[in-house]
Amino acid sequence: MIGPRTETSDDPVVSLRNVGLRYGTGPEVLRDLDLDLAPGSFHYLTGRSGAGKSSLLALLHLSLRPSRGLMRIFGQDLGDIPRRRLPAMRRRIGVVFQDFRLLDHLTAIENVALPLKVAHPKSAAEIDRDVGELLDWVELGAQKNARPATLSGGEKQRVAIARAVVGRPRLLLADEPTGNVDADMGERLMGLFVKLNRLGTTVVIATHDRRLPDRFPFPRLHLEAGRLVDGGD
Amino acid sequence: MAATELLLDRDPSSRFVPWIVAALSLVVTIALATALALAALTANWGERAAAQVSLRLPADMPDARVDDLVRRIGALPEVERIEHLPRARVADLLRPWLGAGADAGPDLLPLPVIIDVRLVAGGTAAAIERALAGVPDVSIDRPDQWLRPLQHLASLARLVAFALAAVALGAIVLVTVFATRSAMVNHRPTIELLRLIGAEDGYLARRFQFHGLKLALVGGLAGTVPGLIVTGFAVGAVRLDGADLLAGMAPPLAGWIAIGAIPLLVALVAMLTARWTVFSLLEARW
Repeated sequence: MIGPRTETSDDPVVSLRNVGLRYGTGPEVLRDLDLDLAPGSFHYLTGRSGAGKSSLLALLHLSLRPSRGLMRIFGQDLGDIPRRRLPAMRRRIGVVFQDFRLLDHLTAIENVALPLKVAHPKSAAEIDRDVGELLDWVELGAQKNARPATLSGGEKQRVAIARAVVGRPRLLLADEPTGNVDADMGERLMGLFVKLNRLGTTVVIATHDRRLPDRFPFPRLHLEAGRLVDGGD
Repeated sequence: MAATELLLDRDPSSRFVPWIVAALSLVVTIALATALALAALTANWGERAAAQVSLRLPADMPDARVDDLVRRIGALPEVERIEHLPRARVADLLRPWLGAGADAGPDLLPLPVIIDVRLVAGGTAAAIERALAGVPDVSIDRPDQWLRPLQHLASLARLVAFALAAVALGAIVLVTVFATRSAMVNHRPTIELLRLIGAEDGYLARRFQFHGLKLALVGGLAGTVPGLIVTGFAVGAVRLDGADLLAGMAPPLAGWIAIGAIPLLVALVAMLTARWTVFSLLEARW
C-alpha cells in the first residue's frame, strides 16, 4: 500500500512502485523504479546518455504513462485520474526543457504568460502584471518584449524557467537547465531553482554536470540502463 | 497579450481552403436555387392543372346547343369561369402547325368547339362530366394528366439538385477534416507544448474551430455571391422569355433568404467539423 487516496501534506508528490516504461513493443527503457519525492525536496537526476533520464522526466510531467507498475502523483493513483482531469494535473507541474521550447513568434512576456492564458481566463492586465514581476525576478524585465531569436542562451533559459514557475507548480522538472549556458549563468540559474525550492516547490533537475552537486549539494537519483541505482550520492 | 500561440493563418495547408469552399459554395447555391425554383414551378403547375379543364365539342354542333351547354356548365358551383373560345382563337392556336391553312373556312377545316373552364379552388371535373353525360362526341381534356410526367421529371431534377447540394456540403466537411488534420501535424510541437503546460482539448479545439469558421465564411461568401448573381440572371431570363409553362419558376422569398444564409451554414459546418476533428485526434492521445 502506498497511501491514502486523497492528498495530504505528507503525501509524496510523486510515488513510483515497480514502474516500467517501454515505447511501443520495444524493450523497457525504465525498469522496476521505486521512488518517492517528498514535498519540498530537491533531487538531481543523473545518469549517462540513454540511461532513461528524459523518459523518467516524461513520466513525471505526464507526457507518458507507465507500461507497468503503480504511479501516484499528488496523492492520486494515475490509473484513477480520468483523461479530462490530466490538464489540471499538468498545470501543477512546471517543466524546463533542455531545448527551451519557446514559441519564436511570441515575446518573452507572452511566452511566460502561456500557462496562465491556458489555465484561466485572467484579464490581460492581471497576466501582464504577474508575468512582469516574474520577469523582473529572473532579471529579464528589460527584455520582456524581446522575441526568443534575439535572446542569449541564458536569457532563453530564464524565460523557460519563468514560464515553468508562473503557474506556481508544486513540482518543477528541469532537463539539463545548465547544459547550454556558461558556468556563471549556470550558477545563477541554480540559484533560482534553490530559491523556488525554499518556497516549497519540489524540484528535480536532470543533469550531466558533475560540478552542480558539489556546488549545490542535494540528493541524487542515479539511473543506469533504466534502473535507479545506489551510488549516485 | 493578444498574440496567438498557434499561427494557423500562416499555415500553408489552409491557404487553399477558401478557394475550394468558394467553388463548393457556388455549387450549393446554384443547386439549392434550382431545387427551390423547381419546387415552386411544380407547385404552380399543380395548382393550375388542377383548376383547368378544356372541353372539346364536335365542330358541327349547333351554336344554340353549345350556348346551352356553356350556360349549364357555367351555372355549376364548381365552376369559377367558363369561356367559349371563338373559332378565330382556335385557329390562332393551330397556326404554328397549319400555317395559312388554319384560316381555311369551316367547310375545308372543321375545327372543334373549345370551351375553357376554370374550376374554383378544390373543385373537381366530376360535376362537369355529369353535366355532359349524354352529349355525343364530347371530350374532356385535363392538363394535370399530361403535366404529371413533367411534374415527376421536375421532382426528380429537384431531388438531384438537393443531392448535389448535400454532396457539396459533404465535400466541405472532408476538406475541413483534411485541412485541420494537416494543420495539427504542422503545429504538433506547439500543440504538445500547450498540452504539457495544461491546455485542455477544448482550448485547442477553439483555436482550430474559429480558424475553420473564418476560412469557410470567406470561401462561402466568395462562392455564394456569384451564385446568387447567376441565379438572379437565370430567373430574370425565364421571366423575359415569358413562357407560360415556366411561370413561377423562381425561389420564393424564404428560399432567397435560405440561399443568402449559405455562407453561414458553410461556416457553421466547417467550425463544427474542425472542432470534432481536433477532439477526435486529441482523444486518441493520452
